[in-house]
Amino acid sequence: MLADWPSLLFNALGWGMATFLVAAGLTLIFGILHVLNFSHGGVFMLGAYVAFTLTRWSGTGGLASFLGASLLAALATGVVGLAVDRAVFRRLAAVDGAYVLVATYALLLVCNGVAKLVWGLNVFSAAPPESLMTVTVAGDVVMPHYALFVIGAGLSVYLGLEWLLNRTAAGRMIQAIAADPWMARLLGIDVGLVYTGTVVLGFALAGLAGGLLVANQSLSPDLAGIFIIQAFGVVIVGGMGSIRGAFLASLLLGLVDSFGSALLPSMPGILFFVALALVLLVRPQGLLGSGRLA
Amino acid sequence: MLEVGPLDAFYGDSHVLHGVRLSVGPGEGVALLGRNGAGKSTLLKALLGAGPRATGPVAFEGRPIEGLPTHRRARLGLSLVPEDRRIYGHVTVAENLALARHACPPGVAPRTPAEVAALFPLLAPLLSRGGARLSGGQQQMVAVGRGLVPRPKLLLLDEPAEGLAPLIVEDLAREIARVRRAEALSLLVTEQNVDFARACTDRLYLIDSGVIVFSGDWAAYDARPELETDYLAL
Repeated sequence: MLADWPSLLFNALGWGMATFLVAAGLTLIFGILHVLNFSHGGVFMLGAYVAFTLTRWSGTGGLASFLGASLLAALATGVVGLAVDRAVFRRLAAVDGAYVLVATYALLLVCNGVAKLVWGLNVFSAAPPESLMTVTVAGDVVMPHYALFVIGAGLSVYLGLEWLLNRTAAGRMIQAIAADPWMARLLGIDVGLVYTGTVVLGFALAGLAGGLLVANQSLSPDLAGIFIIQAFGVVIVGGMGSIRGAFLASLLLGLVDSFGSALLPSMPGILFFVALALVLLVRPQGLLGSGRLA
Repeated sequence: MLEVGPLDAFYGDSHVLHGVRLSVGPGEGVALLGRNGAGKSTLLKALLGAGPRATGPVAFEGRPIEGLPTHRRARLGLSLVPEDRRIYGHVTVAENLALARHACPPGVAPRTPAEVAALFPLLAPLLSRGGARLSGGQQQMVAVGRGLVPRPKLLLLDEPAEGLAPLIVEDLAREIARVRRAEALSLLVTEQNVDFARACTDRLYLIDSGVIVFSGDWAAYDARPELETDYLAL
């Protein structure tokens, strides 16, 4: 049953990196602002719609227009993030966590409403760019180039965030703010500005993920719920707010999902939830949940 | 340099400071003494807009600052070293010092870690150590050093001697007094430790239940021994 383990491993990596792409912005915003953004899936969906529309307009079907559309989708959701930070997140700074939940859930509904208003209820389907529709076969493993592309994109986003947070002066400042914003203000740091930047980056990452992952998905307002459950799973398992933890959890839960579906083909995905429940029971703070950002 | 009051401050519904008036002149060292809960920390935090809700004028170098956010007040040259030190554990001592560069006013170069170590020689061997691996005395030294990085005009120290061994307290007082004179730095220090405060200041205020109950120089304080029993003795 597990004889095709190399394929399962490849699938695990694909699942993991796609999920990490969605989870990155979610865990980043939680790690720095301590706001759990329920609207993240909605922003992801808007990014997918924007990228899909741009790709259709450009009509070339090439890799460059696919990438460009995804980056423009990231830019668009980043601007949405700027507006949301001003209109919503700043007001949440001084209130109880329950309001944060309600407010970001309301934002999710707004995202859904916007998608229905602009793009209607039709289901669209997007194809990957032509150059990624080929496959490479290595031994028994069939590797679609689009899956390889998603794996590369997930790795790039992870390495980029690791570099930003651990190798730059700005990253050390961001980590200082995440650990103790009160002291950071006394040290002259404009904490509000960094919070705004974080929200913009987190939203842009959601939009980028939407653009990169829209291919092979049926695009409808329901897309908001598809990856986000998995993304919340890896954020929880990785340790809320930890980028490195989310990355490791993406790989781990990717393995669980891939091998689980092979072992229990009648119940695909069930082991993901079993693993999630087990981690919450045994290590509720998550793999790397020591309050560290990266 | 600093003119405060009458200032009232609140935490939620509780009224912590009542009409406090206080001033610090250029180059002057001033102590604010009082028991636990008298309102010392609340006053320092109110000066930076970092905690209590405060009402009343606060002027720094003749300019009203009560409407400014905390980081803007810090950039004017107000540096608060909090009671609990708050050294960042995820980076080294040198990087803790470097983080304070953000409080420099435009055009002012921050003190480098080496310059801070020159002011506090005890810091020199600690620069590459992780912020989480410091003793209480070392933490305090790093916190004060970090407070001096942006070349502040007024240093606010919140109970620097608290929890330190007596020998370390003497060292710290001597170092602070020396740096103050060498740098013509204004100092406002809250304390319960009278000897520490005396070693690094020129005059003092006594605060009790959020009200200033005495203001004068150390000779005036010594002339009234009942002050210590009434407002400081436990």
